[in-house]
Amino acid sequence: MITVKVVKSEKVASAFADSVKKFSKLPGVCLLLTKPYSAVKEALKKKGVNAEKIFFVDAIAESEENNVVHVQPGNLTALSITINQTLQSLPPGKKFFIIDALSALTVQNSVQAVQKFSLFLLERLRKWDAETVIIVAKESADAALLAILKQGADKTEEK
Amino acid sequence: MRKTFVLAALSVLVFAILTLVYITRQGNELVLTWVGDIAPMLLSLSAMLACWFAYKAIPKEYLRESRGWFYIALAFLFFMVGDVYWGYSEIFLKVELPLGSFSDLSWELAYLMLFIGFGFVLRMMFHSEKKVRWVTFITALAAIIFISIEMKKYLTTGNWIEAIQDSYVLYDIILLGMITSLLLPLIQSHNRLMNVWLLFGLAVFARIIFDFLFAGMTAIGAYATGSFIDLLYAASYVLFVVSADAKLKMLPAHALTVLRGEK
Repeated sequence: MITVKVVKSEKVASAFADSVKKFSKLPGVCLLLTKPYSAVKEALKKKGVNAEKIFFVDAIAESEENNVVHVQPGNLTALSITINQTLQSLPPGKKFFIIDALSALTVQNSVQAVQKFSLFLLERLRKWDAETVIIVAKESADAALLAILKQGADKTEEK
Repeated sequence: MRKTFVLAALSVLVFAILTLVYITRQGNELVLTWVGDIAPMLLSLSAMLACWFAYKAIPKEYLRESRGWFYIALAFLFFMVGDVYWGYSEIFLKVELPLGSFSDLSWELAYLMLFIGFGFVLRMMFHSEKKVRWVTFITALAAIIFISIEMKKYLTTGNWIEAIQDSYVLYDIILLGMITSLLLPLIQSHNRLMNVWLLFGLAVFARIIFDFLFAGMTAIGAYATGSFIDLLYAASYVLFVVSADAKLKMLPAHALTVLRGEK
């Protein structure tokens, strides 16, 4: 199931932490586009989630941690390969994938490129059968991008 | 232990023996022919098996990548058939196969399968249209220039059989375009999860360099089994096997160690 959460910018972090907590019993991958792993780890700890058991694709900063890989957010091809490889590497069965927060990709890429990337990702995530949460900051989201995400998702939550 | 790891270890061993023989036995035509012909057979067999294991191990939800490995395994089957017939003719029939032989047919099919497999691999990734458009344009331009030059040559000499030899160079120009689309983004932003495709890209690149050198040396009559460029051909197979092994390491049974960066 793919869920799009459209939240105010200041609530992105809590929406992300809540989503991770919800799925924390499953193996999964988080794509970090707004905060580095070091900051996210602490926030998750406060929620009682052990971040070390989750795999992170960190597009903000490099990390020495074993459960983190870094990808430049401007390189959508590298990002697509990394997401593919990490999800494929998880044990068979239920898994989750959470993006914090997709709209941030438009900072380093054109809006059209991110729209195409979103379509690509939605199609793949559906095939890979991952419980997906895509968090989008209300203020920074392009209207067309938001429309694509909402149309591709099974459920939209706006807060 | 992974089957592909065993194949990778065997391939490295065969490559080491081949290198040693090529360095120490230059001038001994019999040894060079035997070793130079048998090593590629073993290496292409290893590459075919390794890619087949990768195909079988990839979860079916990842259809494009799985099909990619299937067609690449098929490509190595055809490379192997071509290598075996080439070796059989040189060792037992004592003839060097002319252009247009059964081996050429098999290798032509191998390239076709490699294109299809590589196509599936590229389609599993997201590509920015702008970059792809540029790479496609430059590749098409290079291919058209090459075909025009070669056509002019055939029309002058009437030697159309050379087109088979030149077709390998044409395939390599196309492969070079494909490999650029794969390697450029990986070099720009690399992490340990991309090693599979980096190794895969290097394998194709080694094959391309070999083909260019082979075509050049054959054109001036300077190639014979035992030439040092054969090592590039062998290295390409080894890199394909290592790439398939890296792929298997990524899959659920072994993945946690890779995801966590452990050895």
